[in-house]
Amino acid sequence: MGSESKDLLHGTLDLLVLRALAGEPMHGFALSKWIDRRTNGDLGIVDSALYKALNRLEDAGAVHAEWGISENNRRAKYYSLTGKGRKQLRHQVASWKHYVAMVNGLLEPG
Amino acid sequence: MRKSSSILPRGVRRLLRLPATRQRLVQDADDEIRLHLDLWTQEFRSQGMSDADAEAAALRRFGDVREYHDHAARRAERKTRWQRVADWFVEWPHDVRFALRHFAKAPAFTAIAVLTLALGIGANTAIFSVVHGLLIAPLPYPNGDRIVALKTAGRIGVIGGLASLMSNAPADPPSELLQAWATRTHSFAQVAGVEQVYLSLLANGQQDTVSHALATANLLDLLGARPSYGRMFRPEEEKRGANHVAMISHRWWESAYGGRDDVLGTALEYEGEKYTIVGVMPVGFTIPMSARALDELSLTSPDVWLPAPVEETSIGFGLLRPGVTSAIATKELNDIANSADMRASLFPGPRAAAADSIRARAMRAQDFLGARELRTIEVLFAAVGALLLIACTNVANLLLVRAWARRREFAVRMGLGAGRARLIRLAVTESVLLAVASGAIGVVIAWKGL
Repeated sequence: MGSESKDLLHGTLDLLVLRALAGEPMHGFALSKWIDRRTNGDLGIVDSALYKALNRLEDAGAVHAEWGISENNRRAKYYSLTGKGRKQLRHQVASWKHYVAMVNGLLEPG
Repeated sequence: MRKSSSILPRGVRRLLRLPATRQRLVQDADDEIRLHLDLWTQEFRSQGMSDADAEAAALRRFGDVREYHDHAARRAERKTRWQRVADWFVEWPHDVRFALRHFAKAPAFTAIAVLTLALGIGANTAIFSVVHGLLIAPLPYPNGDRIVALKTAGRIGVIGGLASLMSNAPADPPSELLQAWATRTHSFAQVAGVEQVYLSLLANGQQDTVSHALATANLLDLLGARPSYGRMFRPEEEKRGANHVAMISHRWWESAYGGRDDVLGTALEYEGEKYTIVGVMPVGFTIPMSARALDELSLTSPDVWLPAPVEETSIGFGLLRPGVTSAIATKELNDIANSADMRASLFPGPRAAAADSIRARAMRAQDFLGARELRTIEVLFAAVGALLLIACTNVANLLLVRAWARRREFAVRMGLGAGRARLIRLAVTESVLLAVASGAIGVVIAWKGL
């Protein structure tokens, strides 16, 4: 896999994770379930990739991780967006929409 | 949904947090994945799968567990490496405070250790300053390492019509030889001349006896120095009587003229003639490499400088062209000094052919030191070096005795969980503080001592 397509993939995954966390803080399981529900499981992202994205975003300061207690009383790591993460989400959503509109324009007949 | 244990405010919780070790971070990642797999297994079971199928499905959708574990381990390693550096920055002020408290509790020990080291360091600094001044950077000018004095071995004199070379010490050449060197050599980018005179003159309205000197216009240029105020002579002013201009020393400018700006343009009277002051020499400026000669004549450095052409001077300086060594320059000086026409004019009369050959030298500042002086400096340097060594040994001994007396304290600290590395760091911090304090006091001692 070339580094460009890898960057694109990472970028898309980061965008999904940021969007999922835009609401309330959630742990990894809830995150994967959220994406599954919104895409009917069609995206086929393995969960380990989601965790790697979470780690990457945490190291970049876009996501804050904190240990808490889950619904069934187990120790779980909760992820939430930082200010920087919200900014990154806005920026990435805008550029994604721009990209999609551009590609759509290219695919229009005529 | 979230039941985070937020009883304590964040800052306090951070204080109670266990240090993030590598193992703990990896364990955390494994726990997180365990929970993730359990929750998905539960989810699939509630959709009606068998236990085995549910677990397999959860594992399948996670991907490579082993690979993720390795990823987490690498990340933990990266994070803790930075953490160690960050911890050090947080902890060192604490170490310093701790060490200072300890020193305050043992003032006698501290004073003795610091003073012992300070004396050793002070003596070394003082002697090194001398060595630096004499051997390493003897001429404090930008061109210092390329400047040589043009000397002869022994004074060339004429006694009863007989030419002779007296003694062997470096001496100033006759003016005509210096002029020949200045015009005929290729080793030098420039040759400048100085002549010292000691006369009285009328300055600032009063008769005053000041040491004065003649200098060629390029003297400061050759050294790479600049007048501290006003300008240096121009080459056309070297001709006697052409322009009556003078420069004064910075010291004299301050003492006789109060450092006033309007000193430029005021007149000095010398042998009935008036000289206009055009500039002030650099601070502390004196004839280069002349300290010993001045001591012998008990002259101070010149306060008034008048322009003169090189043929009226005898203390010569050359600025070596880049790449030319003093040995190459010396060879060229000798060739010119011993050329037939030069000898004929230096040793007039019938015995000229019998006179000794002239030995000329292009001398760097450090070449003026005789073997005896060099030996003295070496011995002094070795002595203060030994002194510092003794001081260090004594302080090391003191520290050792103190460490022995403190072994209970160390035992308690280890019992309370301090690691070996932490204790070593405390000890090193104490030693570094001792060294810094001693160094500072040592420099003051050296400064006062010189």
